[in-house]
Amino acid sequence: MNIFRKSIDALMGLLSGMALTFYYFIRLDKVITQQYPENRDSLTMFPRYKGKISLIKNEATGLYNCTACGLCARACPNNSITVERDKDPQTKKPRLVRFIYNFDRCTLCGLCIEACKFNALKMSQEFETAVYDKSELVQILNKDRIPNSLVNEPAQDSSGVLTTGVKSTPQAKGEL
Amino acid sequence: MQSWLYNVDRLVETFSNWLELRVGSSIAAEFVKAILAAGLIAVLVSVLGLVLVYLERKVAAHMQQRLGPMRVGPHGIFQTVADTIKLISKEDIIPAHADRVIHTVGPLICFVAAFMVIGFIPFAPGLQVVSLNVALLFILGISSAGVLGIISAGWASNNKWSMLGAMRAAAQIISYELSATLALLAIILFTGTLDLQGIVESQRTGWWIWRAPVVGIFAFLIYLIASTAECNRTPFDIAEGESELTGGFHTEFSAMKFAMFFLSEFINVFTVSAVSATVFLGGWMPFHVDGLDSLNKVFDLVPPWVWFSAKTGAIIFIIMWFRWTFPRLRVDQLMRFEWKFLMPLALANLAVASVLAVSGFYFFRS
Repeated sequence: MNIFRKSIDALMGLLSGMALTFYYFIRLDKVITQQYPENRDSLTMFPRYKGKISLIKNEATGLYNCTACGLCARACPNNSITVERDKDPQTKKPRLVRFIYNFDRCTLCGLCIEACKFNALKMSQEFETAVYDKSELVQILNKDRIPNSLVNEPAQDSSGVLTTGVKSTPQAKGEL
Repeated sequence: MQSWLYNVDRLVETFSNWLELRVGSSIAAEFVKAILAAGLIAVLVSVLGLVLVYLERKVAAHMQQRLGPMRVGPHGIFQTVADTIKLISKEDIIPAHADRVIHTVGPLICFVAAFMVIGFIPFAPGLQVVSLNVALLFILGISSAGVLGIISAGWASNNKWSMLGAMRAAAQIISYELSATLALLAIILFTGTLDLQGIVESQRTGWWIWRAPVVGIFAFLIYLIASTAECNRTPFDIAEGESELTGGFHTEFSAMKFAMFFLSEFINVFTVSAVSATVFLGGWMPFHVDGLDSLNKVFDLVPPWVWFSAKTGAIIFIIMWFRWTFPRLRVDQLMRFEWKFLMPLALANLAVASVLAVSGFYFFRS
């Protein structure tokens, strides 16, 4: 009798598998393949996707949360973050000048986000990161809010100069 | 209503009369007809190959929440054409220590065995290349000759994987041949003929799958499983064994020789489906229930060759469905399943069927 029960169990197992595949076969809306170049406008990345890092802005004030403490730069194993800071002339507090991100060295490990105490960094959903020239991979992440006097200075790979990755601007050096 | 769509036999007859008038002698006319028929089968086989490969990929994709080929032509319909062009233009490589003659003959035997069988299948009344009174026996015999091609391919490749794959394929096909034949035999007891056209005619009042009580459905299931194994398809694809034998008997084949194995596999799937549609599901015969004349008339509106294609297509889909749902069996499991389960079941089914057939206990006896 055991063989009959086993046969029926096996048959039910096979049939439930066939039901599942047939369910997916007829449900065209369950297809997860993306026709990438065609649906570029409507394509959204899934929430767990971790792209290159970006700075978080305070919605109310429009200012970056970053306090230029440099913890992220110290946490980075590849030295791909350089934080430039100076002192705010009015408040006399450290202020972010440029947040230089060397995407060419970044392994997207996320240690900088773990290190950040001020909720100033996140991994963005951006995935089209190819560029035509390697120099384009060195990016300033706070480009829209650089203090006026420093706007025109080009972003450069300063890893050879500073091992900590935290750099004071020439003007501020004496004060810090 | 009596258009060529329904009476293909009349069209064929008119053409053959016209041909005999034109050619003069009837022997020459037969010769021309034979060549034409072979050409038609060749066209059918190549179209079947293209369409079935495309459908297989699409079915596979959608069962796995993918889209399948989408780039070559709208929804990728020219994908298989492009693949064929690639296969034709590829170099035919023969390994240095291979047996050159048998290496070439192997895929040919496989292909010819699959190709020949198509001629016996009744696509519609009168639409059949060869009408033979032992056609079913002939189909079983020829299609199992394909094993020879597989064994010689595996042997001639001079490769351990190929040899192992060929031995597995031979063991598997010869074993499952038994169950398949026994399952068909159960229905032959009811039809009383081996002629495929006669088998279809015997189902005028209903299909054998349900007219033969219980044994019909059992025979159908046994034949479906055994024929899937005979085609070397997943879940019975240990002969190819992609993961452990890198392709089994066709590891050392490329270009058109590989294409022949590939094509014969898909033709075998079609043949097997056509045979089970003919024997169990009434072939080109529309769905008839004895006594319900108005219903029967509605079903008669659909041309016979559409009925045949629909039934065959449905079984092909089921075989594809198997492939993309079930995990593979191990060699010993495969053999145990056949010899300890499927064949005893087929024998018992045959015994019950013979009692039923002799006592005349089945539905709608005429």
